[in-house]
Amino acid sequence: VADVAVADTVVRMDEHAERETSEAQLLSRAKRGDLDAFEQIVVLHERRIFGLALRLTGSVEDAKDAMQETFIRMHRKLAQVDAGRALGPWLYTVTVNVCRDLGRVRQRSRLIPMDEWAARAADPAANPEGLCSGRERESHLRAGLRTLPEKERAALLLREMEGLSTDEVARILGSSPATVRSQISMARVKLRRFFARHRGEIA
Amino acid sequence: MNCLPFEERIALYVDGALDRHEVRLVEEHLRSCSACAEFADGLEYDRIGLRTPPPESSEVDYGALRVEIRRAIVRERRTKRLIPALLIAASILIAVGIAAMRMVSGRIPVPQSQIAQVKVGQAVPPATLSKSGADPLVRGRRPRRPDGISPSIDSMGDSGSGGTRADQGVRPTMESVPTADPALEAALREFIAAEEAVPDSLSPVPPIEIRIVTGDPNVILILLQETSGVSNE
Repeated sequence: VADVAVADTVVRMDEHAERETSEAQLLSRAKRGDLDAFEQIVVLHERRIFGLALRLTGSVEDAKDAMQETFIRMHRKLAQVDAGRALGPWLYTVTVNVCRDLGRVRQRSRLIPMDEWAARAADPAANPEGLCSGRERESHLRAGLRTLPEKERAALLLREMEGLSTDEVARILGSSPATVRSQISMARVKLRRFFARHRGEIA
Repeated sequence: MNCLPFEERIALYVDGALDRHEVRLVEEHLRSCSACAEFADGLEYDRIGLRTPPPESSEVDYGALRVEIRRAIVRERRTKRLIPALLIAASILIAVGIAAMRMVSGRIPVPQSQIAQVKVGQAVPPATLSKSGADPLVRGRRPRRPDGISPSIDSMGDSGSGGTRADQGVRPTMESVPTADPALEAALREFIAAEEAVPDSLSPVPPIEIRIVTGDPNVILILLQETSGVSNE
């Protein structure tokens, strides 16, 4: 079992290294003005960026806008991107900033709205069997996330969705690791309390 | 048991952010408190939910979004290429506009290199004299602006054929007459010698003095002209 685990780890490390190399090559081509290479970078990251933006903004349309804006900003600042480093954290920083800007523009980043689904879910008649599909669970999760302050939400999502360390999250958010640690734990507690208040709606 | 204050510590525990001693304390508490154990299980459940990609992320038409991104980038590139050309065109327009305005208002400044520096007590160097016949300045016809700034002297730098006589009480000296043309220099020396020979009281009519104040406060042009209007060599 140990040998299999080691072999699996080695394969994953190789894949990671291969991806990093190909990303660096694409990046240097994109810096020379190759739009196809840039598009391949977009393909590599688009799903993660969209997912993060979706949970940061809480809306599919906003997430699409944020994703596009993130890559457009990335193209504008290609010269500043270090080809020797992984692009992920840099893109997450841009995504968080773009989503924050979007939230400010639409003046709802700090609102605590119940999603339509959350409002329905609070009514047992709307969900008589107490069952919850993956989509409904996601909707409930997003409703919970929207109750969190902007920075707590971003810190929690970067930690859980992208698997970043406390230090990496701190760098992205421009905070200290201690602050980020506290923000993440507070976000977990608040989210759990939100779900506890709507116990029964999630299967 | 009120475990609310304990919840944050449990969250830190789930996050792996506690030291060994605190981990032991939390684990002991979780063994004895079913509410907190349930809370900790809930936190783990939430982590799974957070790590699961949202279903919408596999339904989005990424191809269409990429096309939009590409279009926006191409638009930006085009604009970027146009900016230098637009800047050049704008600066040319501004320069032409400023020149036209100054021409209209007669405020074209004379470059320092073209301003004749003539002081009282010093002869006017022929190389810097205007053609008296051609330049209305020498004749004193061009109206002077109230602020005293002189209009341009177009024929500055022309040598020889025109000139004025510095004759307002102070005579020109031989040392102050630099010229490259030996014939002209000889003529000038002759003229100055003749001037020196004539006493002030015998000078026929006092000449007209034209003072031209230039843009440089340290430079004033003084042009002297006989009242007959005949200029001297």
